[in-house]
Amino acid sequence: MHEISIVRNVFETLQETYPDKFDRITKVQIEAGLLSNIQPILIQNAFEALIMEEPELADIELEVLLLPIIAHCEVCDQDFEVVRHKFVCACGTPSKNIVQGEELQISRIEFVENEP
Amino acid sequence: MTVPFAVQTEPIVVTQALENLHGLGNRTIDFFVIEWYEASKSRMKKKTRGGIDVLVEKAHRSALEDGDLLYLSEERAILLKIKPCDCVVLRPQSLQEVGTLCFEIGNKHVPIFITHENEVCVAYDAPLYQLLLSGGFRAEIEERVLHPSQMIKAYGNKSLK
Repeated sequence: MHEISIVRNVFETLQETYPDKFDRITKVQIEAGLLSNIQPILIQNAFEALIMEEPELADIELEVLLLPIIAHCEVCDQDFEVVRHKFVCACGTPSKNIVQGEELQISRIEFVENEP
Repeated sequence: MTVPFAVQTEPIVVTQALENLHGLGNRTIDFFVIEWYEASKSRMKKKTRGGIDVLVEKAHRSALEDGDLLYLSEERAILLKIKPCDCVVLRPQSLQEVGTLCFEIGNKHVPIFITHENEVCVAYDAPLYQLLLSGGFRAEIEERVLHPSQMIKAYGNKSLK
């Protein structure tokens, strides 16, 4: 439910980090773990709303990648995917050692290639 | 001169879905595959399953629909495919139950889809699923395609006009 402020923060961060080439950004990819409480549809809708406010962002694609939850099993000493929030390894051992799934991060930025 | 797709560097630009008036004939069918939550995006660039770059650049915000024809040439047709996803499916027995359900789900700001079979569908979300179960609703998890045309809007639902 805080997607608008998240999207604003993403673009403010990019403007601060790339002041000279912010206007050459063509794509921003965000990775959101399934435990990050982020709804990708709300991120997309928030971005479309932000474009109406700041039309210069219309040439940028925002992509949200959902990351599955990965936990570590102490018994098998292996990682396993947590499906539908069942934190139980295939061997039957429950685990709360989360390896992946809580992230919310800018994972990739693409820029217009330099003119020849 | 027709540039073979294998060496084409510029993406095919799609501004809207095309009308499929005469069928696809013997054309090669290719698919531009998206997640359900990408159907309303005004801009997205991806490769089709066949490896062709496609840039969707819509001037309007209306959503693309599963099966939409995006591109048509003499040899090839590119169709939109929305990936199925885990959904929480509910089959309410009365209008009052529909209202209660939509109120509970709507409070999460999550889009609600109502199918032609009057099922209520939302993309699977563990806390929401648990909330519905604890509220006594009979919710099941099924893999479905969420069609944008079945999404309830806060205003402008054609069926309510």
